[in-house]
Amino acid sequence: MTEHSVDHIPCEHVIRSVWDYLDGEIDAERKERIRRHLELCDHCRDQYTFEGAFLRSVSRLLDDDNDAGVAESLRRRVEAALIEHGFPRAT
Amino acid sequence: MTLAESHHQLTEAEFRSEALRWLPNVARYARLLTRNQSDADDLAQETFLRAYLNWSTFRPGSDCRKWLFTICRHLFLRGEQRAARMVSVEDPEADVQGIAELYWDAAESGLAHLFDRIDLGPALERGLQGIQVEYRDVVILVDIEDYTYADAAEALGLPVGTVRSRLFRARRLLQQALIEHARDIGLAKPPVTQSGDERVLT
Repeated sequence: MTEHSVDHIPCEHVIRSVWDYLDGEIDAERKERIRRHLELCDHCRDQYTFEGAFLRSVSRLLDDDNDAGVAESLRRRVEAALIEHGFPRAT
Repeated sequence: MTLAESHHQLTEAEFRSEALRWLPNVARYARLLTRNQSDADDLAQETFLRAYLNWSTFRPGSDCRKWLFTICRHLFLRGEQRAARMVSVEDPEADVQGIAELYWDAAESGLAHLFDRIDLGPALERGLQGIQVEYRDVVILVDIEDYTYADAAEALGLPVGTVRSRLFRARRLLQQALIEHARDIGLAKPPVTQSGDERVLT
């Protein structure tokens, strides 16, 4: 990254806050300053786009429910274990 | 039926509707922790057994899924005795520089849009299972289960600042694994030699 400061925030500070910003773990004033910086700084914006896509791919990790069969066999196994400990059978 | 029996049945019905509905989530969570389907099933079963035996301690109206994850994590950590062996060296400055370098590296290798381009699920799962459990935990809670930093800190019994720094490190490690995976499967362009002077964060 080249020497850079936009809207009085150095790029380093913007990159330092990338996760707080994308996670919504940042106060409104700082969020707004970063948003303005991103409007003007291509490099930081590109990196934020990259990091945002990464977060989306992680958040989708368990979305595909390809293990429905496993879940069902596990459910039967868990229920059997619970019944051994006094849990009533499903009616 | 006595009042006590009626109350007992109500409690068990609540366990079924409140706790058992999270079985798929707990099973997946256990799989990420254990890295092994058989161990994961054992852990998930033990989690629900423990939850059932302690159902009276569950506060109605609170988040049952989080309660189950906490039980699951505690059982896992106890089983592995990993908590006592946790060694983390967290260096925020190195991590800030690290994610910037990773991005540059990815961009120079034609991988700036890597995360939008291909299904990274299997590589991501392998990457997640390859990092230390304390890092894996924060990614699972915050990135997959959508906990806030504060909720993750409470669930893990850590300060919020530690959650934040572990998340920073964990995501960097995961990105590293994914970029290496992209190189391994031939998605990256050959590296371009560039002056190191431009790679200094301001």
